[in-house]
Amino acid sequence: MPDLRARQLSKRYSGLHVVRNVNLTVRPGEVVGYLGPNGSGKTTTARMLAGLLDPSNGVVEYDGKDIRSDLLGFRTRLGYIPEEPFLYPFLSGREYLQLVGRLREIPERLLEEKIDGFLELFNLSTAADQSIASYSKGMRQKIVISAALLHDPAVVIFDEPETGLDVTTTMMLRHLVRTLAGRGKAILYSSHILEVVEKVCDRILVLHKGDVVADDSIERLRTLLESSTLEGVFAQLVIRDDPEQLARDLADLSAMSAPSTALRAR
Amino acid sequence: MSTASKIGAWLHLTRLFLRQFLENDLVSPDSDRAQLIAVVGAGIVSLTLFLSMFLSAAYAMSVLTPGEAAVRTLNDKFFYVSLAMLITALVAASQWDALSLDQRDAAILDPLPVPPSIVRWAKLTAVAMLGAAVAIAVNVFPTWVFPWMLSFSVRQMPVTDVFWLMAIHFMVTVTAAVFGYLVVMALRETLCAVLGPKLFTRLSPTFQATTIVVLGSLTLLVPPASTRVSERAFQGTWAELPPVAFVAMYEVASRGFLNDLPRRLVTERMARRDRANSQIYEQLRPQFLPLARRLEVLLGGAAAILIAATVVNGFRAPVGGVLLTASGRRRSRIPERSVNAVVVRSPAARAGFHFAIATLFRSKTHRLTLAAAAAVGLAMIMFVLSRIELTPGRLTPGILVVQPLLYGCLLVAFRHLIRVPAELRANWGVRLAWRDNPRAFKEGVTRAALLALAMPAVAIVIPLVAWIAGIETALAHAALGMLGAAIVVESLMLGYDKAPFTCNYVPGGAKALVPILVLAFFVGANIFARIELWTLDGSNVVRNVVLLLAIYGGLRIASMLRRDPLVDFDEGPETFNQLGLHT
Repeated sequence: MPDLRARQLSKRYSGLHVVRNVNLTVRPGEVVGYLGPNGSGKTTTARMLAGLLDPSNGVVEYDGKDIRSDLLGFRTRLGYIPEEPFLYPFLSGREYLQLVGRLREIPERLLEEKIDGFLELFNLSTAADQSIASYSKGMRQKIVISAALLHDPAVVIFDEPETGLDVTTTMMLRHLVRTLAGRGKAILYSSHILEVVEKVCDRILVLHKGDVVADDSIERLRTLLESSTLEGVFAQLVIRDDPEQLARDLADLSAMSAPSTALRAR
Repeated sequence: MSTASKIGAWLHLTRLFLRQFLENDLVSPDSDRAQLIAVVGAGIVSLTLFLSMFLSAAYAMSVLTPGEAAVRTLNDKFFYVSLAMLITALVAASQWDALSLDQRDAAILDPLPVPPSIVRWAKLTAVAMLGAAVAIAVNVFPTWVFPWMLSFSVRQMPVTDVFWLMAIHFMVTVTAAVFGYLVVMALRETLCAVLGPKLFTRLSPTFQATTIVVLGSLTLLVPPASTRVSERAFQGTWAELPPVAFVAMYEVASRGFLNDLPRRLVTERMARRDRANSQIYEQLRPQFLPLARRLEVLLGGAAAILIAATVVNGFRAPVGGVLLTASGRRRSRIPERSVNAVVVRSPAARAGFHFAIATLFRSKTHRLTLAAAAAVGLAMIMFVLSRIELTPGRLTPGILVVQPLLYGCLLVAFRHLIRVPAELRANWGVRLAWRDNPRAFKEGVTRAALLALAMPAVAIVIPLVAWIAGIETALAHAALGMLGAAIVVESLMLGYDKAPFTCNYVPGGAKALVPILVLAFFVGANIFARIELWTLDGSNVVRNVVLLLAIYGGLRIASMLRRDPLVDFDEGPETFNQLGLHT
């Protein structure tokens, strides 16, 4: 199966770089973790890789070809789980999956079987015919995951998929990611939850303020940065301020009852 | 529980049940409450204000003798009474599930430490308040406008009599409205009592839809029925109709004072007309009291049936509304499968069809626009029907134009609405799943418009045409109407090169062309009505049907010859989208 590759991928909004010169390759059977703090450009990169956002510079290639040359063909091989599961609120979960499946031209009987299966496995059968407006974020996320996997994609981009999911589903999701990789899917897993990334990813890219600051296997990064945990690696690469000091300052600010000369001086 | 606590619980629950009326699935699954109240209130008030001003305008421009006024106002009284009755009944039908406690209420309220009797009283209070509010809202403007405008025409009517007429008008029309409300409630409760909870819950949506369609069709019959009331309404089958009893009550309460007003010096011709009309009225006068007495039976009967059925149902578990079973609310898939097998066969067409139906009727923006279009269509129909003489056996273009006007309004609104995204932030899902099959998707959407908008518009006119020209002609008219609707929708969709409901768009366009398009719409509807008339009278059936089929075929071929467009989901520039100006 072909690779998904990004070359010198950049995105600018009004001259401000959100993502700068990102190079990455996701191979079949591999789970690449895409790490970074809030606002580091993870979602922007994921949207560019999915072809939902045009890069300002650079190119996304699938099977050696620019995805823009055959975007529809690329999307038939792609499953995308966004961070914010925006769905049509007036449709039911089942209706949304039917819409996606029919647009993907999955035969009706197969589609119904798959939908029933996903809804049952995700414990959504009882809510299947209720409108999505009444769903919790976790339930919407489950619908999005089901929609992304309906057509058996070769490439799956997870953009912080664990947001809003309960513990059981998060654990299941980890196994799902590994299982999909075991079946030859190329997976990009964007997250800021280090524990999850550590458990499911073969390799990680660390993004900070739009720049890739690390791209290697977790083991090698640990060795290189002389840290026993991914948290330690991440702290060295991304966290510029002392988090403990920052926490103390925040608590002090919260407790302040009169203007303080010390804080004003800061 | 202390008395104060009971009163507090009753007030809270009444407020809760009143909110439920605004949040039911038919009226507003997700919409903002304040917005809904404003829209519904403005709709009822503007409709009744417009209608009463329009109907009463003639009084401001003419001078009537007391005899003429007594006879002529019978038409208006019949109209106002029927309209009040039907609109209130329609409101009750739209609130079908919320008219009594349902399973969801029971599930939520049963565990609370509130006596069941308080819950029932709160529900009853809320239902009564809704009925009273609608009855008053529907009648408040006609109550002022009709007697006031009449006083311009009948100059000898003193101011005290104008206020007296207002009071009677208000009393009679509000009672008629309450009767309409009671009938729907009694119907629902009786069906529930007879069928039992399980069967009723299953069939309830069908009963509700049927009631709404029947009441909607009857509303269309009100303008033609409100002519020559003095000649036909007080004899035979007509006299059995509830509105006639209310008109009789009106006359009994007002003691026929219009006919008894002092005569002024008028021309000989006017005096002759006055004598003739006065004679007609005097002939009718003895019938008013016995007919008005029927109201005791009608109102008492409806109330008695309602109470009896409510008592029977009170011993059973709550029904209807949201089913709270172990499997949750599960919609029947039979209608969907039938449509898939017959109407839309390809996956993309199915996607378009079902998505269009859901968006048109469940998206707040789309439903609101569609309701506005339906209101415009109905207002035009009321206007047309009130201007023409309807006689059984005499089919005129005025009757036949009703159907194209109604579906035309809905289809034009539909053409506008396909440009409006259902939920822009959710478009990513469609974009990713899109297989570049816009033709099939669009075909599904088009068929949804025909099935869900044009077909009901065509069906609603059938009773009117059947009454005038018989059921066979009405069905032929309906078939021609569907062909006409197909032509309209094909023409409207011909230049549309996007994926309906999913692409963002920049509002604007050719606003300067609107007057021309409106004119073209009326001219087109009239031409189509005339073609239909020539076809239905049997003189040029083959030629006209072939002509219409040729037009439809030509449009289909033109549509097929167009190249499949490459759908661009983002019409506006990126910065424009970021600012949220694209919806």
